[in-house]
Amino acid sequence: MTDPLLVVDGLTVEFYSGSGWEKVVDSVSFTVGRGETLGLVGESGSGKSVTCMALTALIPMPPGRISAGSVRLDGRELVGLNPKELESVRGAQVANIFQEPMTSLNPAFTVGEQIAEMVRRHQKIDRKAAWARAVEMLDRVGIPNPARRAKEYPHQFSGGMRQRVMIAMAVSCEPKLLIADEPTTALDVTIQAQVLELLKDMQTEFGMSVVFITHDLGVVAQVCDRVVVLYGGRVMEQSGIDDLYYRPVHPYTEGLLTAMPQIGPRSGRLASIPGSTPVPSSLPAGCAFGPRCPYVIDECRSGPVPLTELGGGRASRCVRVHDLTLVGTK
Amino acid sequence: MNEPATTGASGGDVLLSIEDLRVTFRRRRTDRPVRAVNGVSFTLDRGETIGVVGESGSGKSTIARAVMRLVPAERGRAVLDGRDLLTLGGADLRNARKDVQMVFQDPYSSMNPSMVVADIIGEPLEVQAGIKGAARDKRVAELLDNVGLSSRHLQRYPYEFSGGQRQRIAIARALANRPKLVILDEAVSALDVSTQNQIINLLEDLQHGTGVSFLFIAHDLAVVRHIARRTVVLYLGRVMEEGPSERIFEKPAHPYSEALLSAVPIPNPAVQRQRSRVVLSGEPPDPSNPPPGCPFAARCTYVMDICRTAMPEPTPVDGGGIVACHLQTSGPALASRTLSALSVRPG
Repeated sequence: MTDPLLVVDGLTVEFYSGSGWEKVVDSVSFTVGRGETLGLVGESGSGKSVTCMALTALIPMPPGRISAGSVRLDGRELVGLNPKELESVRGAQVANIFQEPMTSLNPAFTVGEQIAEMVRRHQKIDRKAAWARAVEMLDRVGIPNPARRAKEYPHQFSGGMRQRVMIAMAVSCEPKLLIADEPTTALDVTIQAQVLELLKDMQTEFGMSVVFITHDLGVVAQVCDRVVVLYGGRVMEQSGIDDLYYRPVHPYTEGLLTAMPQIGPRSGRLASIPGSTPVPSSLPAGCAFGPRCPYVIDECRSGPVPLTELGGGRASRCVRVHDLTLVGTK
Repeated sequence: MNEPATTGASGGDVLLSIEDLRVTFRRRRTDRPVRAVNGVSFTLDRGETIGVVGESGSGKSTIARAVMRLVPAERGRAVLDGRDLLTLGGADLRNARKDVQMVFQDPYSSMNPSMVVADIIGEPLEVQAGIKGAARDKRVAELLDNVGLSSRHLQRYPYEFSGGQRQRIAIARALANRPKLVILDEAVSALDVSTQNQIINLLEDLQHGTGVSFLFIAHDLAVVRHIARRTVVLYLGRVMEEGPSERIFEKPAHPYSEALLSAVPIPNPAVQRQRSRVVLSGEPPDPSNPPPGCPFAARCTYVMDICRTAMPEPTPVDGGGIVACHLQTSGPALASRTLSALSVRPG
């Protein structure tokens, strides 16, 4: 296997909460191969967004800080870069798209100006060429009449079209890595299907790697090659896409899978994981998922549970990983 | 032809009958009117749940708001137990409000942050039913218990609860005066899937216990499939298809329902890879400038000439419900059959 594009190792992010530093992301490690799509999955508060923001130091510091760990992109360490160096990474090598494009776009400038600005920031080209590039990118992401639409403001676009604009901007400098944080969560399902298809096309065209953050296991099944499941800021399971759905190795993954409502025939009551997600200040001493886990034993509560490597790129943070047979999607 | 409004859903006891409802918005007098809801009819049986699905701008929330009298209806009726909610006034309206309650997507913005739970749930009891003092407190405790919270939560503020717990409080408040109908507008959409399932199970239990009817508005089709016995599919303010959920989800009769179902991601990688999908191009038309004919025509795989000029009439479908599509009348004569009967797929 060729060396991965992104290597995240022991990434730990803390936030100051008035009563001390709270670990929101705790020793998270994963890799992203070239051209690969890695899914980061978890419920609200699992730390998935903070992990991804921390990759390019987008978390507000203070109150946040990266207290340990390393993030290597193509062999280059990103943790500890100064603001100027970071600016040359963001946008050019790593691009972000978020759930709500309206908060990422400036309402006072036309979308063409915003894409052109991005291109000019990272490439030595003149205004005219940057504008031409902006129009070309709008065309590539499927916006009709790109030359005219480039002169319009964000509010004149629909939600789906705005997300297309964000994608155009994100890929305009041909980044190596695209971080997509719930990019289709706010969109209608037919528009979501279009945007997911577009993301896949762009990935093939530009040979990008993608980190895809989502809570929707339906979307994961459609777009990801491998998945990291986060809970309480820790990696619970790491698996290839088919292994994750059909042969999960962590009780939390099993819980998430059985809770997904299906479109098929109605079947009794919906499954749910008892309790609710923990907050960083109230994490238990042992396994973070212990208090909600149907398979919990005393050993789970006694101390931190290590991540067990299972070979073939799989891993599980469960003390019972070798004696449990978990149920996946049928 | 059967009038969709009076066929009476599944032959049961009709609680709510929405007939030819139309709601029009105009930002300024000079603006083109936006028909957010355009001639919508359906019925809801007592003790039943009807799901209303559609994308943004389909009018699903506007229907709810019109029934609640939060926005004025231009035309039509919303008859609850023999009384038209849209024409009531004064004391009659106040009385009727007890019977219809609403739960919104974000309980945080629908609760006064400076009130404790006891008052949030107790206020409708005092205002609408005049229940005060010890009787009020007893009923509040009972309601909290019904939704899986306990009386130790009585003196807490909304911010002290998780999203799922807050939604339980909103449900307790909605049920305080034993309404006949609760409108749930994307009530579980903001919750994590596990919490969402807990709330749905709770709603089903409560319905079982009290016989309340639910008008369940959601964009998540899997959730609607689970909770609703009947489903209404809306597009640009019009009913595209209506009928038993089982029939609609397994054998949709309208190309829009088919496309909507096919766009839902399935949490199963192998199924996902093999699936043939209808990916719709384009977006819904501008509601202030709707096309003549069927609003879905521009995105429809099966579009015919007539679709661009005339709005199809509602037609009954085999297996229950109605569909508004020219394929049933002027096309390859589906004539009350579902789309699966159409073997040749154009395009």
